[in-house]
Amino acid sequence: MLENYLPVLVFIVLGALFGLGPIIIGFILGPNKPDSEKNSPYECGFEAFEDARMKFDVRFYLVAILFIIFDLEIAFLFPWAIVLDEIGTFGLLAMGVFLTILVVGFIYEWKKGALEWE
Amino acid sequence: MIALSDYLIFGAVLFMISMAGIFLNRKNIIILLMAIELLLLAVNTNLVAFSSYLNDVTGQIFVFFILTVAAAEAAIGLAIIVLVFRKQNSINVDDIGSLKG
Repeated sequence: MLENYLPVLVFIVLGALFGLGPIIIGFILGPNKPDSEKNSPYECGFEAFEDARMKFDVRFYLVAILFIIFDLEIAFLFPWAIVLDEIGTFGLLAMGVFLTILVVGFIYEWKKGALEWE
Repeated sequence: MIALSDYLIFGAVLFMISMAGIFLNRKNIIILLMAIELLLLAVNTNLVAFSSYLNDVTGQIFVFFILTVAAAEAAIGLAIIVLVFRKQNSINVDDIGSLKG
């Protein structure tokens, strides 16, 4: 069972090598002539207009929270989907109750306007 | 083969680290929240180890529910932190103590 993950591990290591190799080669072989103009942050050619610490929109946070909740819902759905044949109607109904509760939450957030972006 | 006690020691060490994080940290509520997450993960490690060694699947079901609770709690905790930051403009733990017991 655990041995099946060995190719994945090998693949990760190889992927890291393939990803890091060209960067390291470029770092070693490429010319390196730093100057303050070159190292300054790029903002369409102008000087930066304002501080980088801008106000952060809370909508991003809301989307992240909703993602966590529905991500967990999927985590519950996976085992249910696999054993659906064995648990029969009762399992179907139990998951129906769970999904109904989630849908009630989803309707609530929809009506509250948590999904509106503009 | 890794013995059960190794997993339990690992879980206990994680638990200790997070307890230390909770008690020593005076600067940042986010670190507090991360320490609480680590606490729950330590408990999960213990439950999975026991479930595997006792051949009882109940532990893993418990882990599932703890994961859910942890995610919900992290979401609500972060929401509270966002509101605190809006009101106080700081997430320093010492700045929040407005009640003097």
